[in-house]
Amino acid sequence: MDLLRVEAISKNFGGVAAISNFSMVQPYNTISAIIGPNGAGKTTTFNMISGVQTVDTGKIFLEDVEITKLPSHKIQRFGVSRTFQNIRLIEGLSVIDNVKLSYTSRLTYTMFEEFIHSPRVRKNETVLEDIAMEYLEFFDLSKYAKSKPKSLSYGLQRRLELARALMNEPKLLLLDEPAAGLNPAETRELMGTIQKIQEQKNLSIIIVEHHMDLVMKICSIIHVIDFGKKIAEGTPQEIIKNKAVLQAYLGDMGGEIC
Amino acid sequence: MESGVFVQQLVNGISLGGVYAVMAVGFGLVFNVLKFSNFSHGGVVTVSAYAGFFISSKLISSFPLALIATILVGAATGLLIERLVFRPVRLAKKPLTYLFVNSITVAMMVQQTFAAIWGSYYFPYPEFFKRTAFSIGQLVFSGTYLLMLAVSAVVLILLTLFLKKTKLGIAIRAASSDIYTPPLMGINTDVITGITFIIAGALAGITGFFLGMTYTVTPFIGSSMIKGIIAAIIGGMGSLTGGVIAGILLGIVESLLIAELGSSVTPIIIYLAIVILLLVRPQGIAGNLYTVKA
Amino acid sequence: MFYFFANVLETTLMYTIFVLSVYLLSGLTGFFSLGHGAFITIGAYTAGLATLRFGLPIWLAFILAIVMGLVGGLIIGVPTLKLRRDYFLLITFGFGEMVRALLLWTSQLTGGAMGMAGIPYAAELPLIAISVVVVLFIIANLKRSSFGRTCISIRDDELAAQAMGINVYAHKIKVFLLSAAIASYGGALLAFNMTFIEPNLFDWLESARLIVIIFVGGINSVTGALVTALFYYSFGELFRFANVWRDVILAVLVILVIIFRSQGLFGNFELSPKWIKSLFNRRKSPKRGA
Ligand SMILES: Nc1ncnc2c1ncn2[C@@H]1O[C@H](COP(=O)(O)OP(=O)(O)OP(=O)(O)O)[C@@H](O)[C@H]1O
Ligand SMILES: [Mg+2]
Repeated sequence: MDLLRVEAISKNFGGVAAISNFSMVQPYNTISAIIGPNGAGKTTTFNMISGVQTVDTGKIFLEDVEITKLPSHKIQRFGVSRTFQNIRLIEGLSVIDNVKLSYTSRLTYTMFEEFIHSPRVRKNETVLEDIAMEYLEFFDLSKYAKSKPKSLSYGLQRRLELARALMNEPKLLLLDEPAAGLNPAETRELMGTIQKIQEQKNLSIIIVEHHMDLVMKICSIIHVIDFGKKIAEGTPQEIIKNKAVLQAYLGDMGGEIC
Repeated sequence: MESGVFVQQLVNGISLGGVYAVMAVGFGLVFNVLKFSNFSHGGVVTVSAYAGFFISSKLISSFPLALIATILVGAATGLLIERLVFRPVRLAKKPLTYLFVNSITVAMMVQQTFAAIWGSYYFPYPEFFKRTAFSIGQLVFSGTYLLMLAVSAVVLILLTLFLKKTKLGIAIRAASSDIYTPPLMGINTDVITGITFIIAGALAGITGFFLGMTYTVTPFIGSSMIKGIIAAIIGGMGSLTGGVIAGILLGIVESLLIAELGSSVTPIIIYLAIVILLLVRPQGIAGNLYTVKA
Repeated sequence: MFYFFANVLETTLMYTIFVLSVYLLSGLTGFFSLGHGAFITIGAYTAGLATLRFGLPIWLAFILAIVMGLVGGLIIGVPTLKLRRDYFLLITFGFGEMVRALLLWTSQLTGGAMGMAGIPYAAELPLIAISVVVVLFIIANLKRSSFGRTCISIRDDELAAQAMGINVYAHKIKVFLLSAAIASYGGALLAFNMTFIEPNLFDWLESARLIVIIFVGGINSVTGALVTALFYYSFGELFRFANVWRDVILAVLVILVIIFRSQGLFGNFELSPKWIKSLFNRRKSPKRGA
């Protein structure tokens, strides 16, 4: 059984195909990447897997359970976490509360218990605080726990989104251009961190990226899409030699491949 | 219902519907560009209704000139509100919520200011025409209503031409994505927003004048904006054509229901119908469903 | 004189309950109801009808008022809370007007435009004061726990909230129902305090005012909502002659606050036992480092 199985999903926006007939399989304990030029349909694919956008046609299975039509909160509850290309943190919540947020669906107390702030709620809140703090520490963010996300630098906000995504203890983590806006040094560090997370938490990660060189070292499978269609799939070594990929990249990005 | 009465109510309904359509378009235009429910529109309607009264009874007795003067007052008020109250929020790129809150605040301020000054007075518009009704066979039509209908139709047609044919108009329609994204087609968002408010204000001017003619002027006259809002919802928020069709439909349905069942049940039926419509077809007659983008 | 001040205090506190119910919905969750007054009216009329027309005991009237508020909330909330916020706003606006029309239409039962007089006087200062404290307690508790975080996440970014596992629609309905229940309970209090109610008690402007007050205090501060409400309504009751102008003053204040200090006068501040303690501590031993 594979962790994730995507079967020929498509999505149209007003007649324009953002992605068509995209299929992929994601095994457990793997890091893979979806790469492709601007507007290729990478984010749309993530949106469909995470339930943020509906699927027009095709099917998605998580551990052989169909999740195609499920809303995003249920998919998250099943263990799929994600980050966003243009960081979406909750501005009204402090850094640590942002992290706590993604654990909400696992809390079991009733509204009435929250009315009176019952001992169980109090205890849970303390535990939650501790767990969230651990994640912040892992990403070196603990000293900002009480600040608002806006006051953080871009790189730190990206890390905070990662922390928030992990708080849910996901089986599958979807990272949409996690290195966007970071400088080369930060990017290298981030890729190291992602690898470390994968090993420590035993989860499976899919990274969406523009640039193949960023993901070469840490990915075992790369899926390449262009104009909404999958043009190649394979190990980094295979992809780098693939004619179609070279063409797509050379045509669109003037040899930005490495 | 007798067929004669039916035709009469139908004509009245269409005329009233024309006013609702003008309101819906004024409201919808701002919604289209700035994506918030602009309740200050009702405030501009109130200001215009008072202005129309003072202009027509004290300054200019000719109907067309008084109407034009009132439209100018409405347009100026619209622009003034935009520059004083909305622009600072826009420039600071604050959430749309704040625009909305400012708009209800303006509506409240206008209503309460007039209530404080002239709260206990009622201002009836002068009779513009000696003959206010004329008859075709058995049927009696209100001249005022027919005139309102004619003016509304002309204004809406002119507006459509402007929005479809001029560069500025096209820019206004295109600005419907998000005010905080970069300016479209090289036209500054600030200019587009200003012009949108001028047009909406002018439409509010017409609305205020006509409502003043139909009813008496009170500080609460702006609250009748609810009719325009209902039309905007039925039409599909942000779809101007939908708003016009829905406005006229609303006017007809309302007139017929009032004639048949009385004025107390009518609003209840209309509101219930809207809730049901939203359940079945939330995007209204002609609109798109606005959703958040990922 | 004492009665006058007691009266002012009662009215102020009842309106404070309304403001708190709106705080939950608009301040914390970012949904605006221009027909919130309808829930207050529903509560008031249910209380009045239950006691006057059906001779039910007061406590049952309170319960019925809350139940009716919840029913109204379901009717409006279920179809509209799925849609973009503007629909909710506009439909609640319509709902408020519909409730008024309904009361006028059913004049046989409700007295129509003449209103309903002779409701038993059953809500005195102690009951009202306790009610405010309880509502405040509940809202403050919700705000500092997961419920409140969820509200804020929905207010700021529904899509992200949902992707973080929040059942946005269900939570919105919860918030709206709770807010409606508090408002209709407050409405029942109002009926039992004033003993006379009429359909025009709460028009859309009254609902707008409740929203606007919250923005003066700041959407992130229950304390702000509380203090602004207490201040605004007691001011209005004490200086009746300036009654109409106080709204104009409020309006100017709101616009200034939104333009120059959109986090509201109170920002993120909350009055809490901890904060009071820290006041004393600060005097004794100034914090080191920091
Ligand atoms: N909500 C939407 N409405 C209309 N079109 C959309 C929408 N979302 C995406 N598209 C279009 O679908 C196509 C694919 O978009 P997508 O965001 O998935 O690309 P991407 O590969 O993530 O690109 P990038 O590298 O720029 O992030 C683009 O042409 C885009 O304009
Ligand atoms: Mg993308």
